[in-house]
Amino acid sequence: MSGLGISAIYFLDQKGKIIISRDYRGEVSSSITEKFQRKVLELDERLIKPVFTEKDITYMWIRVNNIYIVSVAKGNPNVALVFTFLYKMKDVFCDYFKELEDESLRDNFVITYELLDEMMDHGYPQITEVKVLKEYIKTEANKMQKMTSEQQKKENQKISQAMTNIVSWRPEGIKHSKNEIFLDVIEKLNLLVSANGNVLRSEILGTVRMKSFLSGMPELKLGLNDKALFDMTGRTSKGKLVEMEDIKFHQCVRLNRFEAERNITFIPPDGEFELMTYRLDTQVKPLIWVECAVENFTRSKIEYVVKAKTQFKSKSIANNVEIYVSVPTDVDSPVFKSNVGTVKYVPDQNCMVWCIKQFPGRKEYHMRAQFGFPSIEAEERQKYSRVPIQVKFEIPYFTVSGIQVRYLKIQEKSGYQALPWVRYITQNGDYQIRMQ
Amino acid sequence: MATIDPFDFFKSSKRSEVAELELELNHNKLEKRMEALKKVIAMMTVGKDVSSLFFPVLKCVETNNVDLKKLVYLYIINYAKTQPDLAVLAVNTFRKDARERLNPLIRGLAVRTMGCIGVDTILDYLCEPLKESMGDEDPYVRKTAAVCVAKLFEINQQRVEDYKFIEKLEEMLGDGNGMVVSNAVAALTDIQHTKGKIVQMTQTILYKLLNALPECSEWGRIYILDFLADNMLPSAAIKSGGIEEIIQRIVPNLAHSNSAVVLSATKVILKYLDYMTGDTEMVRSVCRKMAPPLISLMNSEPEIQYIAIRNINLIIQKRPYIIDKEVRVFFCNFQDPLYVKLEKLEILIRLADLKNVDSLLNELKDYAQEVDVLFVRRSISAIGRIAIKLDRAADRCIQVLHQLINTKIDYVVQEAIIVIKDIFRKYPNRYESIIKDLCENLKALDNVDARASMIWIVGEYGDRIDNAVDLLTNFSQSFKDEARKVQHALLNATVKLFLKVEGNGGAEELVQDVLRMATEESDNPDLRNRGYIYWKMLSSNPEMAKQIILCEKPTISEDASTLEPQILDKLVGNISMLSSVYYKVPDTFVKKIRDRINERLDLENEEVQVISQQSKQAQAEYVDSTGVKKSEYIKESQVAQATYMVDLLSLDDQPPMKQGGAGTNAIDDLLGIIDTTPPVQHSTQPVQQQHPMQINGGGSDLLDLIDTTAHVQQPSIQAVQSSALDDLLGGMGQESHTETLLQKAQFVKVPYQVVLNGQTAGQKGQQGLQIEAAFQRDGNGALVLDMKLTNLSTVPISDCLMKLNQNHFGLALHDPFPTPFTLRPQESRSLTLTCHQNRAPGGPPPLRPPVLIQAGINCSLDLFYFTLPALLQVLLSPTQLEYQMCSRIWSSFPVMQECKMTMPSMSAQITNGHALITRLQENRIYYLNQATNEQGSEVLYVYCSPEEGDQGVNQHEIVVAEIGITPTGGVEIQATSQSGYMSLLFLQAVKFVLSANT
Repeated sequence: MSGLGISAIYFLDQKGKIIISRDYRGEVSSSITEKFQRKVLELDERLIKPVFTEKDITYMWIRVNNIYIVSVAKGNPNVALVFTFLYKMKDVFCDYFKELEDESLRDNFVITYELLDEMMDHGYPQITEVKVLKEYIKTEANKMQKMTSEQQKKENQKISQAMTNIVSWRPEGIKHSKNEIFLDVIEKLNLLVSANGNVLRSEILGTVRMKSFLSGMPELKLGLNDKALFDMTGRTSKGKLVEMEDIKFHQCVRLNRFEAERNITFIPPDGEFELMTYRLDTQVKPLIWVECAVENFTRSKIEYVVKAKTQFKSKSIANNVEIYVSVPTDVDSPVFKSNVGTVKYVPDQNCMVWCIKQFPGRKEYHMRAQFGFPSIEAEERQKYSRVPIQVKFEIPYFTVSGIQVRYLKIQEKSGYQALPWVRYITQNGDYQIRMQ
Repeated sequence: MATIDPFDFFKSSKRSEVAELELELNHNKLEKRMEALKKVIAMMTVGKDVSSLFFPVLKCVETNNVDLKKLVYLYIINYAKTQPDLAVLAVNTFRKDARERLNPLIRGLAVRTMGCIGVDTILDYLCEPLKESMGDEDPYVRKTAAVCVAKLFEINQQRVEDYKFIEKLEEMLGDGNGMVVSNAVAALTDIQHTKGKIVQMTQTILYKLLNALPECSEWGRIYILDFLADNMLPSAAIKSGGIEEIIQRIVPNLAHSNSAVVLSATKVILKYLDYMTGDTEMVRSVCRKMAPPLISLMNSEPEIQYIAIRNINLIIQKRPYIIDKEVRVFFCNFQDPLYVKLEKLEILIRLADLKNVDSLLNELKDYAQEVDVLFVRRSISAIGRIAIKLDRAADRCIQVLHQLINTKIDYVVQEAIIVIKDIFRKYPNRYESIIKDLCENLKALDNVDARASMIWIVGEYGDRIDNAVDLLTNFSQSFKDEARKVQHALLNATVKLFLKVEGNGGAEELVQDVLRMATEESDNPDLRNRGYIYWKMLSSNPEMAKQIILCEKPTISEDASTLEPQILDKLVGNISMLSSVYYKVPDTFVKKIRDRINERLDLENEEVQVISQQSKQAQAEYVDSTGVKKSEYIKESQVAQATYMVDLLSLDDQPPMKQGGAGTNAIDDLLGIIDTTPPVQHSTQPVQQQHPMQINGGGSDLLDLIDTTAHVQQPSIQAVQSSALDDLLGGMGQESHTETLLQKAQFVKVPYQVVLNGQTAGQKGQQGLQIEAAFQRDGNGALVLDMKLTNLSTVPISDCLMKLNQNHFGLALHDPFPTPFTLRPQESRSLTLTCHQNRAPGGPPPLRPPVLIQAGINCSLDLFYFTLPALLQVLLSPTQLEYQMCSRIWSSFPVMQECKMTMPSMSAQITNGHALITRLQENRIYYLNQATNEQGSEVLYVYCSPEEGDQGVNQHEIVVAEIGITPTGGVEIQATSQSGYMSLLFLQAVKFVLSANT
């Protein structure tokens, strides 16, 4: 038995009061937000699941900044759909209002209603592509243009087409004086390393992001050094080939064609979008390895020796490296000594941060830190050692996986020449090293 | 133009704000009107009442500016629900806009909005434009119209059938536009939900949908995929090679960036894979394709991860090799929310095998030292479950537990004890050496489960623990204050210890002490009964007792969370739905949502059947070694229970014997049934002489009984505490329940009462209509109004319309008055109208009985007002509460509104206590328990609560009553409720129910 649509969506403020809501099916009373309030706000939020049912009504909620977005449904709803929709909706609102929060909603009641109505009908998600929505639901700035009725008619048909078009993400008739397209290949490294240096989990999450400024309805074809493609066509390559585990595409990419020929072909949306994401499970050596030894842990003080080492080629440089090391909750009077970078104590996060602006490959830096303790010992002083070390960094012109864009072909019926630009960057993802 | 009430001018200055807006709304500049309308909508959103502006707002719709129109429609939708009469006035606008030729957006907007106005009277005006919109040239209008059909269906199913809208939706499945197809699918799904299957899946429809799939938005894909999973093409209807083709066309969706698309695609693929027999290369290659996308879901937002993990747990039960090498993906991240971490643990246990167990244990050991106590405890428990799952890794698991115990952290050690108890159960006599460490590192034992487990361990290994007697003696000192679970464990453990160490080191004193406390000082009947049985076993035949109690226990296994294949298949068919997150088949929670009034009876019957089936299964499971079936035992105990009630309630026949407590009598009777010796009365006499141990009669019968119980108790050591007797008594309760329900409740018929006298004049001064009426529950338990109308006038009466006024219990007529209805002079006609209860805030509660419902009947003769009396029993809910819940509610009554009543006699049909209970239960006054009241006499407790519609139980209106039987054959009733009027109504109803003859 399949589920029905969502009954209603509520935007609640921090205290659980409704800021704005939309009842799609008229089957629940708005007093149910009080039940939500009782449950989520008054109980331990940590223990509340994102989905729960009370008296035949299922609540599915997320938290964004200082608001709760709560959707309720009866029966057996598709919860995965509901959550992906809530996040999609969040993205749309962020795009419209810059920031989705209490104040921005209160300032934009009318647009919020319009969006809620266009994005969902009778509890079923409809159009959530922000570029298409912007054609129809406009903010103050570009609204009231005077048009003749003939112009108006054309305009209206264009909009309605865009909304139901197979190419729903791109309206016709886009013009740019300079046809350019920018490609960013961004890889995030998720890493979990045990204290003795064993890599417990490593994973590369790649994203190909595009900024497209192309006129008309261009046909694009992207070539990567994808091992599966070469295997399929029986070709060999001199360079390195990459085996991507799981590739996901923006809806503009023709999935059937990719499945059949492994070719990435698409008509891009205009402006910025995420073309594809991929994942690699290859075992990766920690690009930046941090060791932390605690010395002289007594009733009155604690001392750290932190060693950071880069394990990538010496011609690459990691920028804006930040190393977060946790400290007991009640330390005071910090003293830091390091040959490179600056160290700060961040009391509200119970940690110290070692910032290194530029950290070249194949280097090793050291840092010593000392903290005092007050005479009355805080409870569970030991717990600091459970919080793993976290590292943030960015390495430009480098991908861990070795992925490369081999070509990006652009074809448009007007036959213009367009320039593709490609950049590579590797960043930390969920990058954690456990402490002793 | 809105009329302005002259008094409103004086109300507040806010008024002028509204008046100003009204002026602006009438402004001839578009911008001004737009600004004003925005202000109106902002006011509406923050909860100010701007309904008085309806007409000026509606006037603004006369524009071809889409933006302004959108605002007007926004306003109308908002007031459609609360003020439908106003919304009706907008109907012409909808009709006009739905046919607007220039702008498809306006047509779509009109179609979308009119569906949101659920007023039956205007539907006729809307169906025609909707029909046209379904064939509109613009896909935006068509896709909106498709959804509008689902909206219409909710308001009026008949119209949807009249206009053949469902057939039109099916036609839309072949539309060239993906969005139109997918919305038609969504609408059909929505309608199927209420109506049952309406689309017969055929090869043609299937391929239409598969063709549309790549053209759809992410949401459209989900509607289609879910629809495909719900409406499988029968395998017989698929040509050879067709299954592969279908699967191949779904597979590309696994690469979609929307997690919900991935899950829905997985669901359809898994369902079609079921059609492929055997483990072919094809099946395996498809499964391999599913793994990476599922694993990638672990990088999505935590809420989606949570759903994905719950689903993956199902998927790998269904097809284990989809994810078998990927255990590391499910390692917990420090920042994961707790609910994600706990689900990951479940997956880790499921994926544990000899290859990955080492890395897994290292990981779990790390978790066991984290900060969050709940997570730590679950992690330790996971180690134990892996030990039980993997024989050959048990040593390694124990090692890790050893290390954890040495941390001496209280909650770690305590959780380890709970886990180790299970490990001992699985691998007896293998790891006892760890007990010593346990005892050494134990600082406190404040967790109930840990205490119970520790006691179990001491009882089980009592012969090898030097100071076992001292340990248990220590525990027994606080026996009375312990939780039930611990008391049970302690009772079991001391008996086992006594049998194991036989007569040395004070075990005998200990066992006597504990048995005495369990039988005499406890008010928990299960504990008492168990104590008596042990006592009797130990005294009648210790050798036999030893054989029974110390028998070999069946082994346990780690499959508590593994689902049965049929259930699993159903849940896999519900991947990404709520059902798959709760691991509950949708029928178990979705049914309730349907129209409860129509289906209540079906539901009740179904539930009853489920209960009786379950208890049958439970009975079947327990067949002891001597071949005595538990079912037989249940029968006997049922007799015992019944007799007991008779005993209790026919106190008037024989002068009551002074007895200790109700429960004690019960066990006496229980034993008395099997035993030929008469029940012994004790408590008033010295204990030693009166113990059941002293009863020697019964012979083989008695032993059979004891055998059975002892064996029943042993198989599930995990359920040590929920003793067999628990189950038995629970079973009995249900059985007797079931019986009363199965006989289709016999509601006491309420006699007619004259509610409108023939001499009463109506509003126009006419007289001559006489009505006799009564609210009843009919044989199916539905609330009806039985009426007898008599025409005492000289003219025929026709065209009757009848309505009930708003009332506290939400009573309303469900059926309209039958038409045509004509009553000739001097004619009498009886009719039955179905009622329903919908307790939206209604009238004030009645001050005193009876409940009077104001009603009006408008007929050709005149308009008459009259009141209908209702007795409480017809307004009661069939919901039965659990004992705990009821007593909790009762004890939480802040203000007790007590009312007393004595009935000198009852109906002659109520001959004994059993009949009394049956009579009450038939009228939805449910039996709770029996006890001795403060005055020391035996009383029954019953409860009831009024029907609440969808609102569940309103605690303020629950009535709990104490019923005692007087020596003269009457009853004394004391009703308690938080609402005084409920107690009064209750007494009136009980008086009626108990004195009526059926």
